[in-house]
Amino acid sequence: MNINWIKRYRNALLIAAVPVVIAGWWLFRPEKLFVNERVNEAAPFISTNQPQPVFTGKFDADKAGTKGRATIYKSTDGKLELRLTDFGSTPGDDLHVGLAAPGESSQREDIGAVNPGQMEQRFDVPAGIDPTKTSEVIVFKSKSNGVTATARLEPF
Amino acid sequence: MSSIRKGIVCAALGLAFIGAHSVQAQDSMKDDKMKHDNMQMEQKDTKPAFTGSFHGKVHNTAGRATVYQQADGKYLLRLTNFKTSNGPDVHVILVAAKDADDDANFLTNKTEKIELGKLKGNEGDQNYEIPSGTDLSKFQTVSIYCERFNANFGAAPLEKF
Repeated sequence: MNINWIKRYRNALLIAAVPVVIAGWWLFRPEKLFVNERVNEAAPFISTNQPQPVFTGKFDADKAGTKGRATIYKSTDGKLELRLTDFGSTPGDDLHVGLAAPGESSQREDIGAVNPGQMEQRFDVPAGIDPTKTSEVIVFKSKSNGVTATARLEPF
Repeated sequence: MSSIRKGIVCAALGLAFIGAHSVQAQDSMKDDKMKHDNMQMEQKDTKPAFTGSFHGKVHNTAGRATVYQQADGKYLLRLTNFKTSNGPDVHVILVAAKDADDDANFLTNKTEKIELGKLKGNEGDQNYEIPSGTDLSKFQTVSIYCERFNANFGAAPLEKF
């Protein structure tokens, strides 16, 4: 294919290229790489005067057999509440639940005693606690300080 | 110790035992009732049933997927703090798997899929109806799925809330 050939068929080549480009554009939509489509639909709640979940996390499975989910609820007046659901642990360990910053389980805020056999439990979270910083819910033995389970809180 | 004294002690112990037991029984009855009342109150409301976080490295997908059960029993999927890369022909689907790899190919795996609709936006909070009769114990993963290229942008394994 020499330059003369290209010159002779230039118009035909251009015309042939148009559908190829359009098909390519339709397939890959490259402009979408630079455009964000933002939506903001309302939550499907009938009434919002009930406390709503704001952070949640699952307890990591461990040898002690502690399982369940930890969720922080926020009521309309701004108060935080910790709820354990599907919870279960080994009885007889004098367990407590607390909030701590990641890796700082020794400086936890003790929230209360945990009943190892009760699936659903609720605790008031003291004012001034920021779950974006103290983002781990830990279950620990109050006597030996050993942590039996950790749930990392993520925005709900 | 005379036998009368013994008798009195035995009776007292017995009474104390019965007393303690009935208090305990009452307490647990009260707890059950409270639990029951709470459940009834919340059942009228839309409440979360399953939730999970998105993972996706190839197309950088993040956020949360939560399945709500509505008052009429219908399920609804809501994405929050959601972000994925924009692309052509992107859909929200449920797949019959516990989780999906970032490079999962649902066609070659012949994974069962349920279409929930076209992705409304690649950023932000959005809701999708789940067809009634969907078995959520089977379809446990939400996938952001580019149908044209059969590419999984990101997946969120659903776990009981």
